[in-house]
Order: sequence, then C-alpha cells, then structure tokens
Amino acid sequence: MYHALLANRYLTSRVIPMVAVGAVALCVALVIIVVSVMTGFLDMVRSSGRTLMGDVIVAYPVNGIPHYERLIARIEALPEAKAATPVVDGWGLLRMPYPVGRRKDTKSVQFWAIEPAGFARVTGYDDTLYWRPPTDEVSETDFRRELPSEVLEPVLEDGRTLRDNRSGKPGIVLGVHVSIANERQSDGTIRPIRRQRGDSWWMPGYQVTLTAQPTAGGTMLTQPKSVIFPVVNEFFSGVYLIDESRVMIPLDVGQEMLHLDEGQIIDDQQLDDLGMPKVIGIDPARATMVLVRAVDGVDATALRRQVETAYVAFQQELIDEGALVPPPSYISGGVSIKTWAEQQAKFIQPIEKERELMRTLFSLVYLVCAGLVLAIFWAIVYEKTRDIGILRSIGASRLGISWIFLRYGLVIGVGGAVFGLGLAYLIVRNINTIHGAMGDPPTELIYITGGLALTSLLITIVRSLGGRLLPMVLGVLVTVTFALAFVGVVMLKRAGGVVIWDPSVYYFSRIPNEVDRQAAVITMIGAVLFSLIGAFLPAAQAADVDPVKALRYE
Amino acid sequence: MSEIRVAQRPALAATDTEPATHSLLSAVELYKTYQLGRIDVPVLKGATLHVKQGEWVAVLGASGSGKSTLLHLFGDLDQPDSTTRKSEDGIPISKRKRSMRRGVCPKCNYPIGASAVCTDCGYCFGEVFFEGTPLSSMSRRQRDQYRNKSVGFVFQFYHLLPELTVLENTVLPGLVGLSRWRYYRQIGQLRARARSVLESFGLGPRLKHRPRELSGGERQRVAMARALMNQPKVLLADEPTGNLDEMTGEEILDLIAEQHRDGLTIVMVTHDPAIARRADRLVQLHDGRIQDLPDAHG
Repeated sequence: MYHALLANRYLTSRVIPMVAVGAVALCVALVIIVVSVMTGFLDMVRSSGRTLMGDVIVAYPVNGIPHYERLIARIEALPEAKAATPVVDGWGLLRMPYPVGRRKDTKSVQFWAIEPAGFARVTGYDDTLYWRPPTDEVSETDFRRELPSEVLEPVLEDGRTLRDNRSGKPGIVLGVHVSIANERQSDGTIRPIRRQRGDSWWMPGYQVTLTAQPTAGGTMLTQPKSVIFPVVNEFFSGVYLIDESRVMIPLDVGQEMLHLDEGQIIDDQQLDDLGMPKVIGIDPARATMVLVRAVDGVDATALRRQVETAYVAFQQELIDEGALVPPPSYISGGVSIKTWAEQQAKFIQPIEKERELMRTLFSLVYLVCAGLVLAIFWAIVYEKTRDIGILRSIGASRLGISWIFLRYGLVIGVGGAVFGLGLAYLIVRNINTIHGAMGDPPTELIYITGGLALTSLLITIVRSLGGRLLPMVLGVLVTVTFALAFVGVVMLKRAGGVVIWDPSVYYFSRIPNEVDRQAAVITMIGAVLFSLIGAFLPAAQAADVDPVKALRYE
Repeated sequence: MSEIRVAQRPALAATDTEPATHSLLSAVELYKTYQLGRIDVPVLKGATLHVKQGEWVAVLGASGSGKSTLLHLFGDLDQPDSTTRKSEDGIPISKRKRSMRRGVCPKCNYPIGASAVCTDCGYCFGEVFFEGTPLSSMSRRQRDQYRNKSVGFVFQFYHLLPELTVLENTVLPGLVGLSRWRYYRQIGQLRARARSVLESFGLGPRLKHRPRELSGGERQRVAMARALMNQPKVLLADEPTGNLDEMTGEEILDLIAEQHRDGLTIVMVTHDPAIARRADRLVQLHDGRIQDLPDAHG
C-alpha cells in the first residue's frame, strides 16, 4: 500500500504531473471534440435526410408515376409502412418581392409540390415551419418575440395547409434562406433585414412568382407556366443546401404547372359528335416521387424490400386491368426505389470516410500522450533515484517500485482522460455559443483580456523588484499571452468577427453539439492505455536502479 | 580478479565458516570488486566477520576501505562477487547458486550444507549468512522480506523521503509488503507503533513535519525510528553520526546504545575510533580483510 501513498505524494507535491495531466486532457479533448463534431455532422446528414424525405423514396422523375394514389394505398396497407405521400418536384425561377422598385431579384429554386397533411405524416414538415408563436425556450432577442401571436398563429396554420386562408389562394412556403433578406443571427435565429422605410422584409405577407418549365411527353419543352403565390410561411430544416433552394407549393398546383395533372387522352383519327377529336380515356395525375415512412422500429432496408414487392404488384395489377397509361416498370422502366441513406449515399459516404480519416490522424495524439508521460516519468525516475534506493533498503521489491510509477502513469492517464472528457463536453455542448462569440466578440472580452494583461504586467513589475529572474520571465510570458489575447479580440472585433462554420460550406446552419459517447469512451481508454505504455519504460528503469549506487552519494 | 578461490587453506575453511551457523549474521570470504572505467578496483578481498546475537560490532576503517560495501552486503543491498561475477574457474553463476541452494559444492558436489567452503575439495566462495542461511539461497521475495523485517538501516545522510511527513517516513517499512486487505486492518496499529517509537525518541511534536523542517539530529532520529519500525533483529548503521556535530552525534549514539541494551544486534561502521569505542567489539577493515582489534573498552 506504500505505492498509493508515494504515487499520491509524487503527484501532488510538484507541478510536472499536473502539466502531464493537463497535456493528456488536451489530447483527449482534441480527439473527442473532432470526432464528436464529425459524428454529429454525419448524424445530422442522416437524420435530416430522414426528416425531409421519409424512410423510402419511390421516384420516377420528369414524367411521374400515374395512379400513384393506388400505389400509396397499397404501400400504406403494408404492416411495415406508417404513411406514404406523393410529391411532384421540379425546378423553377422565383421572382422575389425585393428590392423596392420595378426590377426584382430572381432566384433558381427547387419546388416540391406536396399534400401538406400527408407530407407532414411522412416527414417532419410541421416542425420545420419557422414562423410560429415563440415558446419559452426561444431567446429574448428572437425576432418572433417582436411579432404578435395574432399574426403568427394564422401564419403557422397557413403554412400547415399551404393556403392563404384569408384569400383562399394556394400559398408557398419558402426555405428560410431562399430569401436573402433573412439574416442568421449569432444565436442561430433568423431576423429579416429592415426596409429603407417602414417595416422589414419579413416574407409572409409578400407575394412571389414561381415560373416552371413543364415538359410535354418526355423531354420536349412547352410554354413556361408562372403562378403568383402569397408567401404563407418559411421552413427551417437546418440543412442549408435545402433551406436556401427549396420551396413548397400545393400538389395540385405543382402538377398543373408541370402538366402532370389529370388530362384526357384523345384520338386524332376519331371525331366525336361535335367533330372534335374523340376522348378515349383519362390520363391520370402523376407524382414524380412517393415518400414512405416506416413504422417505428422497422429498418428502412426491410421496408424498401416490401415497397419493391408492392410496386411490382401495383404495376402488374394495372397492366392486368388493361390501363391505358400503366405505371413504368420497376426493373427496366427507370423507377428507383431507395432508402433515404441510399438516396444520400453520395453525400454520406465521403463524410464517413472523412470521419475515419480524422479519427485515424488524430489517434496519433495517443503517441503524444505516451511520449509525454515517458519523458516526464524518465525525468522523475532520474530525480527519484535516491528514493528508490531508500525504498529498496527497507524491503520494497523491484515489482513494487515499478508499480509506484505504473500507478502514477495510471493516475495521470485516468485524470487526463476525465478532465479531457469534461473539457470536451464543455466545448462541444457550447460550441455554437463559442462560435457565435468568435463571430461577434462581446465587448466585455476586450475589457477582461486588457485588464488581465495590465494586472499581470503590474504583478510582474512588483515581483521583479526582488531581483529574481524566474518570476520575472514567467510574469512576462503571462503578460504577453494576455496582451496577445487582447490584441486578437480587438482585431477580431474590428474585422467584424470570424465565421469558421460557414453554413454555405458545411450545409448545416448549426455545429453539431452532441458528444459522441462511443468515441469518448474509446479515446479515454486509449489515453489511459498509452499513458501506461509511456510509464512502463521508466517503471522498468526504476526497478533496475542499483540501490547501492542510489544511496552512495548525497 | 578472482572472487572464487580454490582454497589452499583447509584450516581457514574448517574454522572460519563454522561460526556462520552459530552467528546471527556472518560474512564469509567476501570479495567485492568495483569497476572504474576499465580498471577493476578490489574493495573486499576475503572479508570474514561473524556477529553474534545481541552484539554491537563497530567496523573501523579508512575512507574507501570498503566499510559501507560490507554493510550493503550484510543488508542485501548488494551481492558479493561470487553471486554476480563470472568466476575464473569457469563454473557458471547459475550453477553455483543452484548448488548452494541444494547444499552441495558447486565444484565436486560434496555435501557442504550452509557452509561457504567445501571440506572435500577446498572450494571456497563468498557468502553472507543470516541465522545460518546463505542470503543467495533465498528467493527474491524472501530477500525483500529480509531487508524489510530482519535488518534496519541507518545512513550517514539520513535518507528520508522528502515528500513524506515524519510519521509517514517512519511507518513506511510497515507498509511495505502489506496487502490492501491487511492495510485497512493494520494501519491503525502501524501508526500507533510509529508514533510510540517517535515519541520515545523525543519527536512527538514533529510527527507532521517534513524532513526539510527538521535539524540534522532530528532527521537521524527519524531515520533510527524508521529502521526500528519493524523491530528488526539487526541494526546496520553506516556512519550514523558522520553528518552531525559532536553533541548531537552523542545523542544518537546514546539512542543506539539504548537499543543495544534492549537486546538489538548492531553492526556500525565508522572511521572515528572514539565513536567505535562505544561498541562491544571492534574490528578493522584493512586491505579488504577484517582484522580484530583490542577490546573496545580495554
């Protein structure tokens, strides 16, 4: 038990072990932060894909799937499927209401024509609607607090139904970054910029014009179609790529704009009683996608297999019925049925590779831990040679001597790992606040760093009067550090802050702030293990110390 | 440098090794050579000394004569050349150790028991005996226990651990070899024992002090208390007053004498004849060998 006593005293009676614990803690924190952010990023990609697209996507772009209602009914009858909904997607030009004057901004957007109620059952649509009465958790500076609830409640309802309920007109919901007038604040909220005179460019209440280019059978283009929509709300999915390019409109309007609505099939060779070409059937409305939500606990891949079977049966049924416009074949007709992960594979896979690469590169930090502990312990063993001789003289075994240093290494590893985890947790959980402060450094920080630099300078001057060099050098170092921090904050403030996590580069408007528990546990174990490895060599060296040589000279 | 002798002196072998079995502590034909660069420096050249139970032996000798080396060999901090250096007669060390454990002559396999000399072929090798058992025949664990329980060291430079308090320094030998389970059961007793020894040495008010806060005499008394913590059978004192003024040195010698009166066996090395005279018996280490000196009180 003398090992515990001595390891404890060696640890607490000097600064070096504390420096070692600090260094190991920094290494551990570094790995946990990097891997957590990467893993969080990956999780956000995955979950956003699921939130925005459901679990399985049946897609037949451009021409669309006819009789999609029957396909949906068949899919919803599957025990694995919770709900399914049609979507018509296309690209168009959106004429914005700004700036003031005759010339308006135009923006290229992807529009999704949806049935809002069904779409909300498959995706998290309702939750993404941004303009809604604020809850208690919303920050005090949030723009939504400036709007009366009598305004926000109808806006939320209009967003849910995709209709301007006052005029009865079909409405449009824009991605929150479609409008350049929406500025993201440092606290992550959205605030529309003010107009030159009067109120702000708050989009609900304004009108936009969406122009789409429909096709007429295959790829042949017809006349573009434009529709004026009142903006009824905006959505905020968190995926910048989507929030800055996607708009939602009602399904029937979208089908009409792309000529995918129900139509008549006529035979030019036959005339009816009025001498017009004869109507020989109905061309059913189409949907370019059907999104499917799995029942909770059902794997998306298992659901995809069931949907594939359902689609083949649905197509065969319509062929057997002799439908004039049968659905395209799944195998050869270009219909794709994919899970959300497969749909996002091109996006997810590189991120997974990047994460593994980062994990591998940053794992080299473990070697730093081992080297650090080795160097420090080597010095300690050298310094403690006489103690080792004394311990041998009172009967301590070689194994016992080495166990003191291994125990010492263990404590440094465990201490470093625990402090590292704490540090990583604090940084990761507050990473968006830290980033926000870097983007807009608080003025108080200037006073704090300046005050610390000044205080440190005064203490250094006073301590230098004693004539000793070490306190003076230490004081100068601390003063220079605070002075550099002060200059850095002032320059940052003057430059208007620095934004490292640019949403337009990283797709998401928020930095992931969840600690990856698995990575944390692995990193902590690695740090302890490598600290022990670093302690092994000095421990063996300590065990081999010749007690006579150790005790011979004072 | 030969540390292994094919003894041509049967008389030495027959008589000088015999007391090893009757003495508490014995050094028989110890050879020890140190290397200074490429030069071998012989320090002990067949030193033989028998210490009886309850005896206080003072080893006198000039600086560098090998006094401390002899004490280190007694205390198993070091090993005689016979167990560490290759012999000139070609018998490997491992074989020598094996034979000694079996109690046979490494050269002719003649039964020699715990003796260091073969009465048959005259083969002779250096060895330290404690209660008749050669130290080199003990396992590592037994030797650790020997250093922990059977002998106590007092050094010239005190050698206290600077991070520990007086009480912790004293209790340390009690903690060595104690399992966690026994620690919780015995720590109270150990502390009480350490406190009692320290108080008897007049260090009661100094229990929580660090060594740097003590005077030289106080430090040496703490070192004495530590050496006596486990109630050893032999106290090995290496110039215990060498770093102290005369008066403080006398106090330390008084403490040693008090322990001796209580029956403790003491081997003390010193270069000062005046100090050595406090012992029962005086020997001198000269040219690597032990020579008896006239009676200490005579």
